[in-house]
This record gives sequence, C-alpha cells and structure tokens, in this order.
Amino acid sequence: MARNVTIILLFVSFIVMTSTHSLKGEVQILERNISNLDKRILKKQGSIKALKAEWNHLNSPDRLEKLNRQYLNLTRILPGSVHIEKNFSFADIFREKKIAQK
Amino acid sequence: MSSDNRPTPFYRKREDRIERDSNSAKSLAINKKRIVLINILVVFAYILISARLLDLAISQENYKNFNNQLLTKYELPSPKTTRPDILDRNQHVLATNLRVTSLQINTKKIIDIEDSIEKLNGALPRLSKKDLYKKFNSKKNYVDLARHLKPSEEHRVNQLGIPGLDFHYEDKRYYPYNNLASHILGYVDIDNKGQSGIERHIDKNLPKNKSIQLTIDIRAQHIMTREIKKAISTYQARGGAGIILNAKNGEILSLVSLPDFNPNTKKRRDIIEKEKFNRAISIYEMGSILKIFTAALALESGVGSMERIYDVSQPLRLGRKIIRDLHPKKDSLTLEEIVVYSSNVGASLIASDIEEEYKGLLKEFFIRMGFLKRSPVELPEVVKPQGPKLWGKVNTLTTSYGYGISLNPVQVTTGIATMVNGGYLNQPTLFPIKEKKGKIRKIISEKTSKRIQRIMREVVANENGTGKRADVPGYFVGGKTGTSEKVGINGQYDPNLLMSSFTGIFPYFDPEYIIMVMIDEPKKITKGSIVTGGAIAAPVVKEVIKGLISLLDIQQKIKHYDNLKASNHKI
Repeated sequence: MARNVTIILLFVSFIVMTSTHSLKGEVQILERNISNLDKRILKKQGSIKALKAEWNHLNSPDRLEKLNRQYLNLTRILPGSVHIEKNFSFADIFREKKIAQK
Repeated sequence: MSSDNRPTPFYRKREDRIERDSNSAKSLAINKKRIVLINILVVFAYILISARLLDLAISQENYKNFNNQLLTKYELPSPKTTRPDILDRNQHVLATNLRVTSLQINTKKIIDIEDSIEKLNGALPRLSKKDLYKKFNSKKNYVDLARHLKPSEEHRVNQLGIPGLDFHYEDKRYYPYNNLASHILGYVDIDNKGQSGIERHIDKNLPKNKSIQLTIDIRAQHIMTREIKKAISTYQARGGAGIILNAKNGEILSLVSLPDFNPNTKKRRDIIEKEKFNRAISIYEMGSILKIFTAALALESGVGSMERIYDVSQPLRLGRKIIRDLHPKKDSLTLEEIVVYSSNVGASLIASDIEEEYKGLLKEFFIRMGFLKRSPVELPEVVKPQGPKLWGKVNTLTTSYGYGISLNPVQVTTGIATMVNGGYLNQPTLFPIKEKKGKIRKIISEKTSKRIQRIMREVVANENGTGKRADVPGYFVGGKTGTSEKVGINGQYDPNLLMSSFTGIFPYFDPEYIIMVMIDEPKKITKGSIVTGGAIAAPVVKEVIKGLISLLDIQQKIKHYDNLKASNHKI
C-alpha cells in the first residue's frame, strides 16, 4: 500500500515539476512579448505625439497665412460675406449701415 | 514411545522461536530501509519542487524587474520630469513632450581615452576636444556629455561603438506654435520645471498625469496677435496687450502680450526681460474705461439717471488739483453723453454726487468688483492692483475716470463683462468651466446692465462717439475708449507717454465677447496725429472682430436679436 502511494506521489511530483517548468517557459515568453509590446506602444505613442506636434506646427495660423499670401492669395471672410437670416429686419441693417456711414 | 513421538525438548522450541524472530526482524529491517529510502526520495522531490518554485518565483520577479529597468532606462520618462500636454479649446496641441536623447559617459569603462575623444569629436563637432578631455578624466563615474541630441547625432555616436558611452532618454518640452501663446503657457527650464505661466501653475496646482485643456482658441489668439503687431509697428509703440473674454462665463479665449518670446529657445537666458513682461496681467492706470463703472454705480444707486444733466463747461478745481477734459465741451452733458464723449469733468461730477449721497460707495463698489485684490486668473505672475492709500475726495474723483487706481487689463475686461452680462461677476479663467461652482456674485441689476449696453453702443455708433472707429456694420459693436498718461522719469504724468486702449463688446444687446486692446506708448507718426484709444486701439478691435466673425457663431446672435425684437424686448 505504502509502495503504491509512494509511486503515485513520485508520479505526481514529476508531473508538477514538468508542468511548472513548461509554465515558467511560457510565462517568460509572454512577459517578453508584453515587454516588447509595451516598448512598441511607447514608441508609437512617442511618434504620434511628435506627429501631432508637427501637424500643429505646420498648421499654425501665421504659417498658413504666409503660405496663402505666397501661393493662393485667398481673401479673408469679411463681415459682408456672412449670410444673414431671411427673417431679419433689413430696416435694422439699413439703420446700422447709416450709422456707420455717418 | 517412539523417538518420533518424543516431545520437542524445550530448548528446541526456543531455537525455533529465535529463528522465526530472526527472520521477521531481518525483513522488518529491510522494509524499514525501503520506507526510509522512499521517504527520502519523496522529501527530496518535495524539496526539489519547493526549491524550483522558489527559484521560479524569484527569477520571475527578477525578470520583471529587469524588464522594468530596461523600460525605465530606455523608454519610460522619469515621473518627476513628465509633464501633461496642454491643449487649446479645440484640442490643438499648445505644449507637448518629445523624447530626446542625451549622451553620458561611464568613465570606468573607457578603454582608450585619446582614441574615444578623437572619434567622438568627429561625430559631434559641437563638443570640443578640451571639454571632452576634461570630462573623460573626471573622477566621477558618470558624466553628462551632451543633452538633446538630434536623431542623426545619436546615429553617428552609436556607429562609433565606443564602450562606456550611454544614451539616456528624456522628455523635452515643445511648443508647436512658438511665440503665439508664450505669455499664457510660460516656459520650463532644462529640468522641465515650470518657470512661468500655465507651466508654473501646473507644477503647483494640477496633477501631471493627463492632458490639460485651456479655454484659449489659438485662431483667436493669432488674430489678436496679428492685429496688435500691426498697430505696434504702425505707431512704433513699446508694446501691446489684448484679451478676448467670454462675457457669460469668464473664459479667456485669447490673452496676448507683445513683445513675446519663443519658449522653444534653447538658452532660457536668451529670453530678455522685456519679452517676458506680460502686459495683460500687469497693472496700469487704465483711464476713461473706468467711467463705465462710475456711470453704472450712479445708475444702480439711483444717484444718477440717463437724462440727468451735468455742467462740464468748466474744469473742476479741487484744491491744487484741476480736472480737465481732453476735448472740453462748452455746454452741459447727460450721464450718457459724459461716457460717450469721455468727459473727465463729467465723471468727476457724477462721482462727487455719489460720494455726497453715499460716502465711500465708489470704493466699496470697486472692492465688490474685485478691483482691489489680486485677479484670480491662473497665471502666477498676475500683479496685485493698487488703489489710493487714502480714499479722500480728490482720489475718489480721479478714480472715477481711471487715475489713481492701477488695474490689469484682465480685471478691466472682467469688470466690463460684469457690467454688460446682466450684472454677474464671473471670475476670469483659462480653464474650461464645466459647471458653475458656488455663488456667482450679482453686482448690478439687469436694468442697469441694459443701460450700460446702450451707452457702450452709443460710444461706437454715435458720430461724435470716441469709439466710432471700432464699428463693424451689421455686427452691433459697443465699447469704451481709454487713454491715460503714464508717469515719466520725473515722476509726473507725461502727455507723450500714453496708454491707449479700447474695450469692445459685441453684439451689444446680448454681449458674448469682450475684446480689449491696449497699446503701450504709441508715437505720433505724423504731425498733428492723435494717439488716443479711439484713434489707435479701436480700429484694432474692429479688425479683431472682423477676423472673429468667421470663427465664432455670430449669425446665431443676430437671430437672437431678431427674436428679442419680436418679443418687444426694449433695447
């Protein structure tokens, strides 16, 4: 009886040992993967930040204005270019314009 | 009896028993040995397993630590130096961190100093051989060689393969818009510590783990900067400041001070003092803009009325002090006209009436408006205002038209917002207001506020109004001019050193935005030209409003005006 129990215990111990060993290996691989992924995520995040900063720099209003003057010569939106609601009393606009003309 | 039947002698039985016992003891001994052996094996196996588990546990920990070290050293910035991104109200990046490389040397690992210096100088010519020699022979183990390497420089150094050279990665603060919001954002030192502006405010008051959004609209900031720059250039002024404030909640859309600086400048000491000086939060005697507050108090207290007439034909003499008007009027003016034509004598007469009726009311009113304490706007450099030490009659009368009390432009803009938004004092802020916190102080009534709106509209719409150059036809601009003399070197007010300002509101019937422009010491560019707030600052406000129309939802306001008229709302 004792012999059988011992054999079983030995067998169980062996299985535990081998499975623990293989688990260790798998965990190490996964840890390495996570570490690599973390590094890659951080690098990508850094790149995204740099790109966002560059995008904002390239789209800075004074730079766009300079480029417009140089290549496009688009005119600014003036107050008169903005559409006014149809139901607005034109008498009021006329009064305002009259005041301005004075 | 036969011999077979003989009984076993007693000694024989004993021998048998002894033999039997002897066999049993032997087998027992053998079994014992086996059991012990098996036990030893089992115990050994368990020890082995336990040891292995322990080993795994420790080695896993080490493994993790190792990885973390790697990440910390080469990828993760130190938490101490991490700063949050700063965004404008439309999520444009105003300040961010970029990963940069620094070069360090481990002096103990260097094999051939001469050769290393020669190679390194070739790859990084900006490091002189003399400096390198000094650093390579340092007694310290680790010495910094160069900070903020360019990617190309890092590549060149890496190619050298010199043992003992280490790269370190750290964050560098970067401002994509350069100068554009420099006086709001401030700057950081080489260790990423905030030195001024919002950067300094963050270090003291805010968590560093997430992005920070401001109320600033970078497009509005650009328009304001562009127009003030033009005025400074035209009038050869010393500087200028501008603010766009949401009248309904105190959010600041733009805060400009010129000259400004580039916070990306490598050497911070290159930023000179006059560039660091923020005019938008420094204190000045603001001049006639304060007449709005005097008029509002008179109307609110019942001392004055819109139709009440004041004789402004003569200068006002108070002991040695004589109060005069820039453009004297020969007749009497109503309260409204006093503001429209910006009469110092008239404002003094109104203040005199208030003081006679309610002594100390003007001072109390300024205290309630927060004019005698530091503005709560989140910039550490805000200068505390200065009022008269003694509120005697002369001082009280001069404060009524903006002399003897020094305020910063943010305070004045906030004050004007209070006067025209129905009377609610919203504290100015650079951070979006998600929910109204606490009680918002009511300063004046709706009725008085409407009257002030009308007066401010008259300043611009009236053909003789001082602010007529700010009008944008169809957009109902109101406002008030301010021209004050600065104190010269001799300690006296100098008529050649002017501070010209204009504070505009639009649309006047339901003001959403308050726009203030101040030009510091404009010069007379032609003989006889005038450099008052109405002549210089008002046109700047006009141009800013024209620029903002395409950005802000102005059409909705016009529609709202229509609705107000439809409901017979008196304006």
